[in-house]
Amino acid sequence: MNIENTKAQMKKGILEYCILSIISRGEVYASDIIEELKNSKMIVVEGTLYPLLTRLKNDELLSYQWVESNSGPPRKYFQLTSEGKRILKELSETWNELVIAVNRTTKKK
Amino acid sequence: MNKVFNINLGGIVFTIDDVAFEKLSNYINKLKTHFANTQGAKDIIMDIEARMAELISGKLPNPSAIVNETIISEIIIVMGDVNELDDEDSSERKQTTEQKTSNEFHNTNKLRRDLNNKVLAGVCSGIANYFEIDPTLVRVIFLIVFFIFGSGGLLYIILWVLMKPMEESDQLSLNSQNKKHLFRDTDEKVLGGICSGIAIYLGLDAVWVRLFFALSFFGFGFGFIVYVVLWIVVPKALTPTQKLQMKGNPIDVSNIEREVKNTFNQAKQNAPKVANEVKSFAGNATHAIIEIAGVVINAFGKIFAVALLLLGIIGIILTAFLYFGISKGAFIKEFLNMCIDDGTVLNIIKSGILLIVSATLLSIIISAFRLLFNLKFKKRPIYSILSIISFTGFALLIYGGIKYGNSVKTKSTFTQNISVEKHDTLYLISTKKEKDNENISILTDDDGISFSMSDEGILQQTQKLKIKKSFSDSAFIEVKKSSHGYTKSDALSFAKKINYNILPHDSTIYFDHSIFIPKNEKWKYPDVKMTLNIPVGTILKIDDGVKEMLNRNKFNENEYSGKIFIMTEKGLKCLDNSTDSNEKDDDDDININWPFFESDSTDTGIHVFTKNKKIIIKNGNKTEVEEKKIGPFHLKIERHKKDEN
Repeated sequence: MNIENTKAQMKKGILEYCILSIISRGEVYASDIIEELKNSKMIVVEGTLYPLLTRLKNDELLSYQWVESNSGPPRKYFQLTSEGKRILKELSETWNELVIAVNRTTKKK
Repeated sequence: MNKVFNINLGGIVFTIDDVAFEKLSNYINKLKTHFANTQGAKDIIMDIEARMAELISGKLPNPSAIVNETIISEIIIVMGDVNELDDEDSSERKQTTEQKTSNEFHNTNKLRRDLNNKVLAGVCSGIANYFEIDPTLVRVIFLIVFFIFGSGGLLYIILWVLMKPMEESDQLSLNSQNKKHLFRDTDEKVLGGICSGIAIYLGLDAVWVRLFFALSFFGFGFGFIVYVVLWIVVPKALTPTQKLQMKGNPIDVSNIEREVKNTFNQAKQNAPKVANEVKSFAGNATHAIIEIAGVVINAFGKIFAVALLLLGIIGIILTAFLYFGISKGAFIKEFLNMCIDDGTVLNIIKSGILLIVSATLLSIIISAFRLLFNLKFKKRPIYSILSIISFTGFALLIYGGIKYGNSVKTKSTFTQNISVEKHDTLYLISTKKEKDNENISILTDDDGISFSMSDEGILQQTQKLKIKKSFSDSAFIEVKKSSHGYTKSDALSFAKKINYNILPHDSTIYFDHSIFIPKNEKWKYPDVKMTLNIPVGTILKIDDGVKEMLNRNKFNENEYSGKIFIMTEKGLKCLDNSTDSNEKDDDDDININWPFFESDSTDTGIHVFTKNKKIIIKNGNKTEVEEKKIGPFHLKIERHKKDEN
């Protein structure tokens, strides 16, 4: 059994959920998201995030705007679209159901 | 000591050293290849670059510090190796592709005219989308059907009316396809960019495709048609998107490397220990193979270039020979001199030819040099100049041609009657002059028509002879000499100058073997037509040369198959209609070998040997030698005559 692959599979959907919920708290830029994800050990390498962000943006769950920064070039600030908010809501419901379901299944004695 | 570069990464300027730069650009290139098939690849790369820039500036003690390899290595570890990215999101990418294919399937199921990729109305590319094939193929099929059956055009119009244009959503999904398309590559074009487009499509070097086309141009001829059809049918790559589509997934080193790596990544799962060794070995092996292939292709290219160069040089030498009249090549120059009397027109035509030939040869040589030394100079201006030169040449040729056509627009005929002594049997003989032998043939044709050039002038065998029944009791030859010229009188004076002699002597008529135009005269399509009128009952015996003259009148080709004829009330009748079999001829009591010729190289005159006579014509004097055997006596009679003609 390829354990790495299973881990990745497990993380995949959750990662999207995490990203959406980070953005839902207010406009953020990529580095903020990375900071949070790294702190919570959701991702190991940063490169993973960007394809995901681009895909979410292409699926019109996210939108972004350029904001001038005083410490460097302008930054992309992300926010959720109404569709994104809807998906997030659905995902969070599913997640809660999953947590309960998984707990029920795995913690049974 | 290390070189440093200033780079702009994600909007921040860094000073970076040589090794670090190499590493960084290598990483970014790998990312680009990796995401080449992903939607929004540009955004992803941009975001990653911006993040890397941020991380680097966080690691630098001050903004102007030099970025070194250690920093880049650390950053790459943070960002993740390309293969790591692959592992983590491969399943996700797979899903996206699945989604995309289902989308495509849904959309292409509708038969719609593709307005984005149209030549006329997008019918062909719509059909191509429907069947998921290359539009070019559909276009070629349409054109073939159009040309062969004529129904393609009607079919096209019907489909044009019936098929709805594509909706915008369909267009979007089609645009996202990363299919390879055949385009004309106008950036690297020689003619229409077709060869280079095909080369990119097939992943070959354009030189090979061009070579193939050039060979099929000359070898089979259909290459030209194929090229023209493709030129019409294949669209030009205009927009950057089209240019990318044209290139699709080019077979380049990094792609091959990626392919190999992917394969070995799979293998890694089975044999993790040897993976690294094999990986590096595989990398080396691929590089070696690519390098060897490169050298081989290069070598062939060089050989081709040398051949091209030789061709060009030989061409130049030949042109010089022909143009400046060195050696035998002079005849073209002299022929032109004789054909064209107006010096200006002559010069215009000559310079037209010179311009075209030199432009062609120069472009061959330049191409050869470019191939040979990989010269990267801008080829466009040079080729433009050369094509301007050859177009000027063509223009001059056309102008000269019109002028020349004008100078020969009128035809005049000069008629002359030559009377022939009345004999029961007439011998028609063609006399070959010595100058007939030393010449260069310009044109020879199956019907015995030929043009040739000697040191003294043009010899042409086009004279025609007809034999008709004479209404009176006498025999005569009507000779019509014709020529062209600017005016009627002009043409007439040329016609009168035509040097063609018919010499009736006793019962024999000598016809010149060819019409001769000396060098100092002008050649204006001269021609001679003769009609021999003979009374009924006259027997004719002719030789091969005269037979040719008779047979040049195409309509009675079969009439003069034999050598002996008799004039009847109904016309000429052949008496020995049996030329198919020579053996039979020999058995005949009529000796068909009569008369025969022998050219005597020691004497400059004309020698005609007959059965019992030898005639020598020299400097206008005719010597007749007759040998007769009467009983035991052997007589030799020599008669000298001053030639009247």
